[in-house]
Amino acid sequence: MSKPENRHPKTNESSTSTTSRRNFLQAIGMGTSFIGLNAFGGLVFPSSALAQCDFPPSKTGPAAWRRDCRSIRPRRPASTLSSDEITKLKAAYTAMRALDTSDPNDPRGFQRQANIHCWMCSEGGPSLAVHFSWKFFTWHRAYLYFHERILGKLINDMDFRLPYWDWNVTSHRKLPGAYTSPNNNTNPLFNSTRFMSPTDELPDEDVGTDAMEAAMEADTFAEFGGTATDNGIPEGTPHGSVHVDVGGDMGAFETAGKDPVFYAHHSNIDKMWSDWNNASSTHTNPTDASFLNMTWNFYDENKVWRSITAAQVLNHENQLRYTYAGSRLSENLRCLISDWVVIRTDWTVTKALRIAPAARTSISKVLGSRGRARLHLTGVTVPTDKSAVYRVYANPEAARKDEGPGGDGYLGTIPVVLDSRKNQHVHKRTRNAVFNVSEKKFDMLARAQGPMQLTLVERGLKENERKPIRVNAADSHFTIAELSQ
Amino acid sequence: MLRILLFFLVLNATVLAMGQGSDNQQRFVVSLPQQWQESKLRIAVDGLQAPGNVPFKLRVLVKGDDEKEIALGSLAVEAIGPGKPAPRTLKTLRIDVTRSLNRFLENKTNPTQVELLIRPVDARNTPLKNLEWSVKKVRLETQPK
Repeated sequence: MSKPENRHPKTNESSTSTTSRRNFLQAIGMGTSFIGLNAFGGLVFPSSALAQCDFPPSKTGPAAWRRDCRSIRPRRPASTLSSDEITKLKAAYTAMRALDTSDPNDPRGFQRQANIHCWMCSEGGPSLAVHFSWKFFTWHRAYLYFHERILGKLINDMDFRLPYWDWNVTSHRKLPGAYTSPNNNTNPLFNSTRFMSPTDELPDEDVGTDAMEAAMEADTFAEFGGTATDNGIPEGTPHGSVHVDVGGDMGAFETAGKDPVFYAHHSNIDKMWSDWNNASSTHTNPTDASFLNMTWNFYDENKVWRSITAAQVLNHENQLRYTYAGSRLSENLRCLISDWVVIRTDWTVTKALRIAPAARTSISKVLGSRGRARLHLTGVTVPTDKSAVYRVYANPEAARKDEGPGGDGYLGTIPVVLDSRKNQHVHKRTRNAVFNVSEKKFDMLARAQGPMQLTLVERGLKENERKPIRVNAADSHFTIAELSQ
Repeated sequence: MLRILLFFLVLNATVLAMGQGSDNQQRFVVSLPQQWQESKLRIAVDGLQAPGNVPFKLRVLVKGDDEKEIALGSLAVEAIGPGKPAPRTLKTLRIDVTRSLNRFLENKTNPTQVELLIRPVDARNTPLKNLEWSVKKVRLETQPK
């Protein structure tokens, strides 16, 4: 194999300068902190070095980050952003990219922001590395936090929050549309180096149930988030896998921050941490001082050099003022939706779905006024011979075609995960399922002539392997809710 | 902090690197502990050496009775950067294979070991036939559930 290239090949001077600074930082034990960088007062790095992979210099020491009094706002799934949200997101990155040319020394510029990751993950040397240890989750949360604040400031909206690419949701395995539409340089969220095309999907084995459950079932932070010297399970898969799968700039530590989807990907990684914390009262973060006192520096939205500790990022809702929305529905549930009203069907008699004319009118009316409708299946008998995801269709013909989400007759999925090593055994042989019913989906159901024989089919099989199974459920009914405006 | 790591019953998985075939893959045989069904199972790859300029995944596979390959999962290896071709060594990479390995083994009678195929692949799981890579050791770590 060939020798490593010099990182700053243009001049010996720039290379030496960077190396000596790195050595100095390491020598004085600044592995987890840049505090004291003002010892370099007036340090100016060659622009050639800055253009590649250097941490933005500062002439002063960092001011401690203290508190955030902004409103608590949700980070939302990147794949379901509204057009207004996409417009805002693109405007923010357009403004951030514009700083690269209008003021290359502005630490809020896109290239400078990307350089932070490059420096902390590659060029800064082992003592600064924020991967492969318990620094991973905390440092990236802090990095995204300041990045998010800068984006908000640039569009004069401090309620702006980063979106997250929820690739763990089966229907969101493609790059989020905002990042690929248009798929060229006119889109500030585009990156020309991606290996993954807009039609590619992340492989299930990288981001599917096995990978997610393995992470979420970690008993301790050491398993989930790593230790001082070792990384946790999710840092490899799914985190690293998505980097490799997207490819191009995303595939390398040095360049990953140059792809805007990096920030949406890491927002979902951050959400995993949040979800892991919330999954059990025993899922707690380390309390060691050596963990809590880890300190890093970032420029804030006002170009003020700030220091922030790991302890200051542990509660993202209270300290950093953002939450994670499970879905648009749950986000709006509390304030927008009235009580759910149950609409019965005659399922218990017919074992088929028939929508009575009066029920059809009620559901159509609610959906027509932007209300919500759900289809509930209670006590669905599921196959117990393997772990699989079953798709539910309105009829056997649609199940045979298995067009998936958005396709003919598709209603939703019922996952079955064996919880015993022995074959043909699950904790429960039946499942309850609730499917959101959109206007389009309801139109499809309402058009059906006669009762519908709801049908399961295992996902991911070739056409000649599919074996539709008629849904055997104890009950089925709809619920509807109107907007409480 | 090492307490958790020590908690793992680190099995001395036999490393049988049986040469690299046309898919640039290596074979390893790992021993299963007595109570493997009651444990979380993780493949740990120690001392992976590979160029720093190639992002790739190490796909861990097993062969079924019909010789069909079954993927247990993948370990991602991000590159350092496009201009960093020099080989670098990663201490330990891990992947949880509890569910996938259980699925594979559930119909086998008293399995005592598993033969793993480890193959470097790109994002689309295409084998990277020319990637120079090596590992020091492959282990199966177990931890009580």
